[in-house]
Amino acid sequence: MKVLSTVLILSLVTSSFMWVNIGLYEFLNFESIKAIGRFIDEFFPPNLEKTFLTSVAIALYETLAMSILGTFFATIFGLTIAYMIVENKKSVLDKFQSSIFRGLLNILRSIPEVVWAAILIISAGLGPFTGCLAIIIHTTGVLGRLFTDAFENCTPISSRTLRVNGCSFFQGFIYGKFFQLTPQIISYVLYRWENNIRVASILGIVGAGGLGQLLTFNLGLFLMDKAATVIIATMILIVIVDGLSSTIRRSLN
Amino acid sequence: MCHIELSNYVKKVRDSFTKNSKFILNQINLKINYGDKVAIVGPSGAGKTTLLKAMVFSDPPSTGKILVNGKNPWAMSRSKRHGLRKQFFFVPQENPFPNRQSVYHAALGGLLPSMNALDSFINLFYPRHLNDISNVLSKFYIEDRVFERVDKLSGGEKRRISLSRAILSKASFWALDEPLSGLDTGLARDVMNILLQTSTDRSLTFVCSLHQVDIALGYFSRIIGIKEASIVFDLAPEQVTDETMRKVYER
Amino acid sequence: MKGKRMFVSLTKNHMVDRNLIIGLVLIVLFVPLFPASEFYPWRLFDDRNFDITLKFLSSFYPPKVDVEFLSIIFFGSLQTIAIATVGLVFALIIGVPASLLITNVLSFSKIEQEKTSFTGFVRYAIRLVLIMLRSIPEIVWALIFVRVVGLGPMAGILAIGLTYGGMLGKVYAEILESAAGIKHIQGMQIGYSRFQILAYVLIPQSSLEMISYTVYRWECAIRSTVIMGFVGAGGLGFQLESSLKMLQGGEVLTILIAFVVLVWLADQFSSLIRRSVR
Repeated sequence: MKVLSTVLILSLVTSSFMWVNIGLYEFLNFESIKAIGRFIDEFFPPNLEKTFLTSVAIALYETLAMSILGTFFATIFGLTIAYMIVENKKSVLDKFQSSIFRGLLNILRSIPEVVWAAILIISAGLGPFTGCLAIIIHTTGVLGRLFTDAFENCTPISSRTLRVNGCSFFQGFIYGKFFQLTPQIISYVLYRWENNIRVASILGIVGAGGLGQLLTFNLGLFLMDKAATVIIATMILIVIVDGLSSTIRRSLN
Repeated sequence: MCHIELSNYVKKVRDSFTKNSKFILNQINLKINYGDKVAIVGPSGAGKTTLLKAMVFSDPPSTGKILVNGKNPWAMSRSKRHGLRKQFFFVPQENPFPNRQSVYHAALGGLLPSMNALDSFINLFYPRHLNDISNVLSKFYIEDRVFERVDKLSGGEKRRISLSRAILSKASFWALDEPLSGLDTGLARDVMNILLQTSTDRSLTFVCSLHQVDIALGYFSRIIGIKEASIVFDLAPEQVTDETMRKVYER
Repeated sequence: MKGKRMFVSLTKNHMVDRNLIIGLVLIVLFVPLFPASEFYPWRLFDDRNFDITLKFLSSFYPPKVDVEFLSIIFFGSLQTIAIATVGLVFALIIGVPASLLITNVLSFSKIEQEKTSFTGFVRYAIRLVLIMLRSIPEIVWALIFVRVVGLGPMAGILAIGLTYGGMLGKVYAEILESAAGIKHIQGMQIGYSRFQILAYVLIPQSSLEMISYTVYRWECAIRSTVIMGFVGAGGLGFQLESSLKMLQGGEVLTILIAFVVLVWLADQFSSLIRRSVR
């Protein structure tokens, strides 16, 4: 077994290198290094003009808004769909319904946000709203699946006790399983937010607004110093959100 | 017509490990009348919990029949049976509260069956039934903890929340599994007094399983002894001798 | 308890007070997010958009399955796999040395509890570099590299190499640190060289986890490569972008299906490897 995998991995790697036909030599010669050096030179120093910084700040806020609203609505939809999957009626019809929802979630989460955004541009136009929708659609799939697994695997005693006493499934779900899993749910949501802030930053590349759009714009015009500012702003935003998310998660434990 | 009637009730489980079937309840025949106050005694593993669960028709029997208010709940449609559940209240041995709930939300479990979905949702954020719940909690001396997190309470306090649920509910039948576990003797008697008083005032049928044999004998009008999945005796407390009790508990 | 409030308490219990305050804060923070992201859902349903949407959606079926197109897709997928794999090899070239440099467990100065040292400073600096590499999304790197090395797979390979190098570096270091224990401290005290400790104590402990994580990242790399194709870095993504631009729903559907299959295959492969390592 181990031999097999080693062989597989080695053949994968070698064939990949052959396929790509890497001219490492072309890359490492002196001329191209000079060219790269010149290229990097254009990026620094980053553009710090006031008017431009304002547009960067606006784009940053747009990106942040996309990530927060996208994650928020995805949580709500994800919870609703997870509830519908887990709702236990034991009849054949409802098992069928559950499978359909599961399939839906799989489709939503298999297709990356960028692809959703590119498709949605056609109906929702350019701008951050499309980015928001793309994040909502993809993240609903991810969270819906995570939530479903969590609800199925938690101890059923709190919800079961409520239901044996006559509570509806909805009541048993909320006062039993949901309360039980609140820290886990929040953890998943924050983790997705960390992911989504990165996604939101780049969706603009296909036209969905935010920092990504500003970046593509400036790169297209070869305004490298402005592009550098945008990239640095993106990096700072991501690091801040990562930090916020970790702090919140730690404070809840 | 009696409140609950079990005829030739059998509950078997298959041990997944040894592939043998094991009787948890074996040919139980039992009638509980309206307003009865019954204590079930017996050694651990005898089937007390399963018997209580059978009475609130939590799971169907392997064989045998159960009649609730003269009708078979397992012959009803799912929704009708579920509606019937609101008249029966079961308190399990463990305290089934999610850790992060507040005492308010945990106790609300008693009122939930009679609340609609909207009310249930609103109560997540705004405690609309605070008065009722505080009243009942104060009977058990835990009123001041009402907004604390459940996991910060002791076992005995959590038990009292479970019992508050029963008092809050609108059910006409209580099945309480070891209601006094985790309570010290003095407190246990107080609690039992409250439970019995309430159930008498409201003319409820009250069945519970107890380890505390003295309380069983002192407070209940009917004692059922169960051992190894069968009922060994079903008598009024005066008729229970030391001999009878010992026979039930010996191995 | 209630005296702490400086304004009139709206209700007599502090659960509701707390919820009200949280609710208000959330509303104040939340509401401006909607116009900032141009969140006007009704736009989806205005006449013109709706027509275009319907037309596009109906073009999705049937998927395009003629041989010529399928072979383009097939080779595109192979290229995607190749880019991801080579990119990950580059990531290893960056990540492995970086992880060894930044990890505490090989640092004698840390063991002897020197407060500051030159090597400590170097470690910190490299950590910063890794954070920077990680926090810039790979597609941004791809955008830049496309302008340096031109369209095609090289840009994607470099982008993955840098970003994933940052990730591997950090996680490998963490894995090594969690594998360290009494044995390794004793080893250091006795006088084993760094290399010996690494080879005989740390690596055996952590090799499983590292391989597992690397294979997981390889899967992610495949997905990233498809996305980077949108900016010209080759592979399936490149084809997807052009099909979308031309509103060829049938092509898009085929590519999407191919993508799902590709991801599934990668998942199977990675599970196979991970199982064999155990």
